[in-house]
Amino acid sequence: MYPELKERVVILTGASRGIGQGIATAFAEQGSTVIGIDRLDCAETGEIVRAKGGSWHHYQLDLTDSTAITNAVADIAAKQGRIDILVNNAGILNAMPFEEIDLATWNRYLAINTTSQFLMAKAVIPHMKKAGFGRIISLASGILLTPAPFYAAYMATKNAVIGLTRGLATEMGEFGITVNAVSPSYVTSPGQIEVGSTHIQSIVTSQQAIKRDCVPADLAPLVTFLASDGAQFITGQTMHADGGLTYK
Amino acid sequence: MYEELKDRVVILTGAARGVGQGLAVGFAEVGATVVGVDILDCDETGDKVQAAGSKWKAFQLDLADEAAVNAMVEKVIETYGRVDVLVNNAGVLNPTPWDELDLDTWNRVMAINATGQFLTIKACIPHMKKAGFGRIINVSAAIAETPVPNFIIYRASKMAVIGMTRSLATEMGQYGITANCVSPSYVVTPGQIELGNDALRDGIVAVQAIKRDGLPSDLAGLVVFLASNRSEFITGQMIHADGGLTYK
Repeated sequence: MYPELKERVVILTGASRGIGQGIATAFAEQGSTVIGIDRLDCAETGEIVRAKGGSWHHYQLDLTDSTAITNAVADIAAKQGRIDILVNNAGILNAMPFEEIDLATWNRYLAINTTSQFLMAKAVIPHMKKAGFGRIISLASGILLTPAPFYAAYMATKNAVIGLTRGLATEMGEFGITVNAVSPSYVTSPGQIEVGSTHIQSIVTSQQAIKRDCVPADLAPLVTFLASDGAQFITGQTMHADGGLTYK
Repeated sequence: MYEELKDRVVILTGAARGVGQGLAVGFAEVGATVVGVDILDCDETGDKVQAAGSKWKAFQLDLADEAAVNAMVEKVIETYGRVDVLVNNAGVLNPTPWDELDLDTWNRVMAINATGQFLTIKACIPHMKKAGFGRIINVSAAIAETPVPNFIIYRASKMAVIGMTRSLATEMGQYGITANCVSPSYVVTPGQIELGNDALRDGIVAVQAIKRDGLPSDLAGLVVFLASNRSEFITGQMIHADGGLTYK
């Protein structure tokens, strides 16, 4: 599909399952080298990537650990010789009424959903600048533009992702690096099943123009497109593959 | 790339030159059949499409003429038996300060930019519904969302198109038809030079994150992606391939 993606090196956070696994699969289908980062074991994703003929490496680490991030990216750069694409997919999403959000929870959301993306970008950008090429694609969220209750911390941290995306896009434009955000609709992923949020699925799906559940494979093609040469003039944008949940 | 687009039928308005010509070439490169529609002669575009090995047909007509639009689509169906993709690219971008904006100009620009898109979509939808597949891609312009003066009627007409596209997306979601808008940045095309708009260029490029002139080919990657099967969950959106001129 996109010959230029063959052998390009993709760092993908939250690669162990769900949306991350779908994105890893899509890049593997293009022949990219996929480097999965997750605090969980990524063996399942690794098997899929290898079965599709892609190269696979992984780092198990906590994205709130800035030293671990710096070390991992340095190791990737040393071993692969290049870093072309960063997909900031890792994130947490838990329904919680505002009154129940304490400072510790707020800080945790910020650390995982937003600051980790800042740290990953900080680590990879010097390599992308040197190469004169880069693609940073960050997960925002389709529910950001809906009046969904009980997601104050989540929405704050995901909106911050959009702000980071825009500011970074402006400063990176001259270096051949594009920076965009993508938003799926609600996906009943293993992560969502764990936190007991699956009741949201039917509510969200019923509001979409295309009334079927969003799956990782709905978002993955948008991510690979943005990583491709055909998207070289697209930057600073937040693009939705959300079945028409919200219109922008 | 995008094998499913081979021999799909794409009706493309404003095909004669500029951005339309760039889009025609983009579709020709993936083997789609291109039907070029314009008030001007499309021979130059036709030569490029056929040189790329794709099928080509041209119609010279006024998009504000309902009977002509309907006859064109009927002829396309008669010839090819299908219409898969409609790219509404034709539009006029005449700068007109408010005090000079009279009713005739208002009506004329609305007729071409908005009503013309309504008419082409109206004619294509029944065939897309029957096939259970359709892609409607309406081309706007990113400068419609910047504080550039003298484009009141242009902006009004393009916002009308965005409004129509959103509601269309909602109603067509169940039929396998997606509808989206796309925006290039300012592209110095023959049409723009004719209007004396090329003076706008420097100011716009200076604001972009990627500081170079927009080219017709910059939009083609996005439009062809949206026409493919891989974008089936993207609908009702307004997407910018504008070098980071505006962020949304």
